[in-house]
Amino acid sequence: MITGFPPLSFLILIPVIGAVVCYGPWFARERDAQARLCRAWSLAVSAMTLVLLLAIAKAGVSDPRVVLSVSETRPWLPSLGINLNLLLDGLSFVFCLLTCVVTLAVIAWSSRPAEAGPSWYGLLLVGQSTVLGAFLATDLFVFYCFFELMLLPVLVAMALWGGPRRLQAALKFLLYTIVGSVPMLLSILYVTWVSSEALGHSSGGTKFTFDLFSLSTVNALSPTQQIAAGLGFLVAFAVKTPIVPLHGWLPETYREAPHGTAAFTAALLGKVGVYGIIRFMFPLFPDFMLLAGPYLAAAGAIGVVYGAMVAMVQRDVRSLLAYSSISHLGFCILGIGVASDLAITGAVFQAVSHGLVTVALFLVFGKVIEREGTRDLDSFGGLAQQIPVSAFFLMVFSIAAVALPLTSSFVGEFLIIIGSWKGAPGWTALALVGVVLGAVYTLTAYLKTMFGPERERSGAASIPDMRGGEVVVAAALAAAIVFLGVFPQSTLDTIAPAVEQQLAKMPEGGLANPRAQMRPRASSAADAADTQSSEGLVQNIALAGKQEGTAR
Amino acid sequence: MAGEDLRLSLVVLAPLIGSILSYLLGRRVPKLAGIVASGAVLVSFVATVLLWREVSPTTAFTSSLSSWLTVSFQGAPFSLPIDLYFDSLSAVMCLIVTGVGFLIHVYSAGYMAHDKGIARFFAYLNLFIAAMLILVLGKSLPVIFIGWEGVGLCSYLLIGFWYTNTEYAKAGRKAFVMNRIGDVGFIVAMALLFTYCGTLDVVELSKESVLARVPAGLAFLVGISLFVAATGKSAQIPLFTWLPDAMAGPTPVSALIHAATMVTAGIYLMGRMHGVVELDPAVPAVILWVALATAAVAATTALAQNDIKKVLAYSTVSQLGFMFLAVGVGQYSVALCHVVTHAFFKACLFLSAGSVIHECHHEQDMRRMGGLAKKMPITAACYGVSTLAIAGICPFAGYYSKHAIFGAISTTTNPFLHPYIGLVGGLATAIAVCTAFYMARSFIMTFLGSYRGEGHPHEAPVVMTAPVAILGVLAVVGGFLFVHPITDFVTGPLPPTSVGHESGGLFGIFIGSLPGIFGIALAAYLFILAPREKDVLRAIFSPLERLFERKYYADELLDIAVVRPVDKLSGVAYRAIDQRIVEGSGGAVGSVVQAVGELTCRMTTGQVTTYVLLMFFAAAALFSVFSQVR
Amino acid sequence: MSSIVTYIGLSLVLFAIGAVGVCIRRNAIVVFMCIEMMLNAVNLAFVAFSKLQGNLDGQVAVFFVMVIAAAESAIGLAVIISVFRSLVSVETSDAAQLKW
Repeated sequence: MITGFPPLSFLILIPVIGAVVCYGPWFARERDAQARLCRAWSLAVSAMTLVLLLAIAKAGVSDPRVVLSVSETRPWLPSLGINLNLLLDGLSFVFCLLTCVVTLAVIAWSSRPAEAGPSWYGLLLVGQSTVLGAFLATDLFVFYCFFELMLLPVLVAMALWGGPRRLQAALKFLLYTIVGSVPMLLSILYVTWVSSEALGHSSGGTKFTFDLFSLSTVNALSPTQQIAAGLGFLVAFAVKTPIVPLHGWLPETYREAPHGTAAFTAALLGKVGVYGIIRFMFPLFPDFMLLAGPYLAAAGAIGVVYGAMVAMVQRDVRSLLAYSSISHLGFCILGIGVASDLAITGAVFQAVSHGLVTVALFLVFGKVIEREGTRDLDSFGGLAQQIPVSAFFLMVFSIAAVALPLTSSFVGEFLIIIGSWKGAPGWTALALVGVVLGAVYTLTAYLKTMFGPERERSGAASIPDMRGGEVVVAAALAAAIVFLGVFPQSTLDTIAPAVEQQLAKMPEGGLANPRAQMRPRASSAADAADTQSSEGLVQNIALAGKQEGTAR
Repeated sequence: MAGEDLRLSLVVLAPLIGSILSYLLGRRVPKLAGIVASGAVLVSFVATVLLWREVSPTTAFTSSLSSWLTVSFQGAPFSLPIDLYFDSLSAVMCLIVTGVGFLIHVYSAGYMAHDKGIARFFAYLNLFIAAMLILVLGKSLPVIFIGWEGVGLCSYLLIGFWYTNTEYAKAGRKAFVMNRIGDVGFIVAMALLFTYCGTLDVVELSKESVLARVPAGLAFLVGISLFVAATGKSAQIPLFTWLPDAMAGPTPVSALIHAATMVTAGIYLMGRMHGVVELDPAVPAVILWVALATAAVAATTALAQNDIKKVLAYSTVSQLGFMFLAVGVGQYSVALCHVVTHAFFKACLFLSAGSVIHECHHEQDMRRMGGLAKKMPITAACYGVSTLAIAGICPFAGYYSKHAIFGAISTTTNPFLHPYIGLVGGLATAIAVCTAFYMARSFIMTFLGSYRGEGHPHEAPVVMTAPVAILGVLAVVGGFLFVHPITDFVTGPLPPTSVGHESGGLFGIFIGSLPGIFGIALAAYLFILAPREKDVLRAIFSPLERLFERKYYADELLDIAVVRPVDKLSGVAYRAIDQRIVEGSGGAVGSVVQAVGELTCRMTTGQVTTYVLLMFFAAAALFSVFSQVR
Repeated sequence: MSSIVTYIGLSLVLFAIGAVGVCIRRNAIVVFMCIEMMLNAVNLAFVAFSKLQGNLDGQVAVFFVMVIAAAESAIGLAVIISVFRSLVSVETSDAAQLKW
């Protein structure tokens, strides 16, 4: 292990430092030359981040039997118990890797930054850094900071270089996410406040901490308190993921943000929601998660079908991708709701896979949009002969989006379905309807874009087919998607132990297991009684909730 | 066992590598594409033959390609290795896929010689063979599913091969989506089986002790889910309308994918999972009625088609119905025999039709053909014997397998079916008459009489006639050579058949061939001897003809029942829910914020005095509050 | 006792006059002078309390206030001059551009 050198902080800092350089004085006078220089620089920076991440992970698992877990902590506001606690375990590693890969791909793709000068690259790097921070932080307060900071780069990029309705979209995005995350801040404070007394008992006096693991070890929240606090977290993550019906910001953001930013947002922002639920809500609010499970599963399944249906009637490519994201992430929510080991592992895998597939689809469709000068699906057509390389890659990524076997999406969706069936057969079956609809809209989009007779267009030929760096990026993404589909084992081995740790407080098998027959630890009578009583409590709450509902 | 491992992997890997090679080489030298691709399938065929000679009804080879994924928690580990499993059932399927596949590859080299996309064509075709082999060799359901989806994808790509025609591309999409509906059945079956049996391995799932874990209430659901999967792939009601549309693809594709191999995957799946299918006796009953309905609908629809490929397509649907009849009565090996003989004569029919279409400059309408027997004698002969074979006339191939199916119907012990055996047998016989009639009609319209088109057709090149001739020979001898050996050979993976080997003497043969003879005679009478009476008949049956021509309005019904409601609902979901409620609620939050903002705006008068006053009041308020707290 | 009351009373009176002046006068220079007067009223209070408490903390605060007042008058007058240049007026009510 490396001592003294804080690798994880560096991981977050490198892109920021790189971004500062982007804004710094430049020797090249012309804007174009500046942009090129900046691109090369940020490419190097993001590549360096990726290499550093891999190096940390490699050093962290010197022995294959050791589970990846690199952590570091440094005081920030010690009097309030806020520390910069960072943790790189299997769960955060796969998401960090996704972040680095996506950023690298987006930067490498942007060979012709039409509207974006040096500052766009800077913003993207800042974005990478904040997202990495959110994936690494285990201090609730620090996490919240990154969770909010994450919005800024997207917001600024959208407001500066977005489409015609960019200001409205930016405002909506801001409103949704801020309104969503304020309850989380309140919940964080509430959790800390409630736990401080329990923590104080051992050391005398009150002691504040925002550290996830200390809080979850103390487990000071009664089931009722868990519901109150858990709802706050859930709202924030539900807006971010998004869970239907809190997705109002998504289509407009995807439509109005500049190409690269939209790809970055689509691939990463939602994943923070999925990650957040798994990372924070399961350890902190196990009872709440058990209670909310069926509703989450339902919301996920409905989201799968609803997203797919709405995607079918879209004419704007980016809207279609937006709703298809809602549909695909619905599977993650379904898996999270059921909360069996298998389903959650699948949900993580699906989130990562969806990140790759989405960024790939955004980039290739971006090419088509740029070429045709419109985003209207109905005005495309017959492009397969004009841009065969793009057509090939679009086919590969469409197949991946449909989740055919041997692509990464299949592994994710299959694990979720297999893992969820026992806990929520009805909702899983409903989600399967989305599988059919997914094929419909994906293939329709492909058909309308690539197939059909060639059309005569004015000025379309000015932008050539994919070449050079773009082909490399697309090929690398395709390779990653197929690799994850054919050899998912190493990734699953990384995810599974971390997931198991996150679910330590949940009954094995999630919803499929009634809590009464929880883990086989009933060897001690006290434990059994404890389990029994909390089971009773959960039921009481459920009852109370119902009565409240009927009273209204 | 290492040797077997290598060969078994080679069976699958050869076409996979061939796919890539034929594309890369074919891009440079178009002629190489066909040679490389055919060679790859030949390698696969030889490897299969070598393996087949060593396999017996009770032995099987296993080869592990990769340990795909394992997720192990403290509970039960979930692992899906990619294992190949070669037993006698897979052996028969593999031989058909690679053998017939090879012949069709050779034929395609001639058929597609002048197409610009020949490299792409052979890449897809080889990929299809690889996927199909994975399907029949998969040792667990997920591996079968890989092949299942793989063949679906290749089918989609090949149907829409001439993608500049939007209609063709749409046909491909239709095929994919309808197959996808079936796939949901497959996934549901996998989820249920894993949940209750804890394994997805086909060998495990054939054990009674494992299957006994499925709760009684769910047995029907599991079986029917598998059958839904089969209906999608094998074009049974209600998911059959994609197959006629799939004729948009190049004709060799129709021969390979939509006649000989892929569409029989459903029958293979039923056979492979027969333990699951038979868990609840209601499932075979459903299969049988659906199969009978499909066979009847497709056979009558074929009567009214003028496109030669459409006739063959409906006949394929109808013959698949026959195979499912055998599945429904539990005679899986009989169904498999019909798969084999059908692969011979239907591939031969399609390839002959392909030669005709090729020579008539892509004319597919039989009304603009005729008299081709003189110009294309070999092709005509092959089409002719295959027509006799499909009509079920002794000693041609179809007679043996069809006869076995008729025999099988009477042996059923299924409580749901037993009372209706007479009805089923009668209907099946009527369908057999229909089959003979429309096939004879298509032969007469295409090859007899005088030429009604504008081209100058002559015999196809040897590279095309040779495979057709080989298949024609197989359509003649395939029946008495293979049918009984196959039923014996696969009695291990499949339950033993109760149909005897006795032929019933000459009279029995005559009775067995009677439906076919009757149908052909009727066609000959109406189309050659007394064309007037045909017109009289047509006038009488014209409403029916319309019904048949539009395949019972199945597309329209599906459109009204499924497509349009889903479309409508999607529109409503988008416009009413998403744009109104979701965007509206977002807007509502926005307007609340804005209203508050506007209210507070009023305080910003721009007058310093206002601000100062506010400041004083605020300071006073704060002071009083804090002094209270103290 | 009487002395502290006198000082604080004077301070209060001065502060009130300043505050009222800030509120009701429109001439920016007069408003400015009133602010100075308020500051000095506070200074007076500081000094008085300092004497009462018997330590120098209050007087230190007075120095701070004086320094800041000096800086403030320098910047404030500059602002007023530039406002006058663009609006040809030193009425505070005329400088009302920065509202909603």
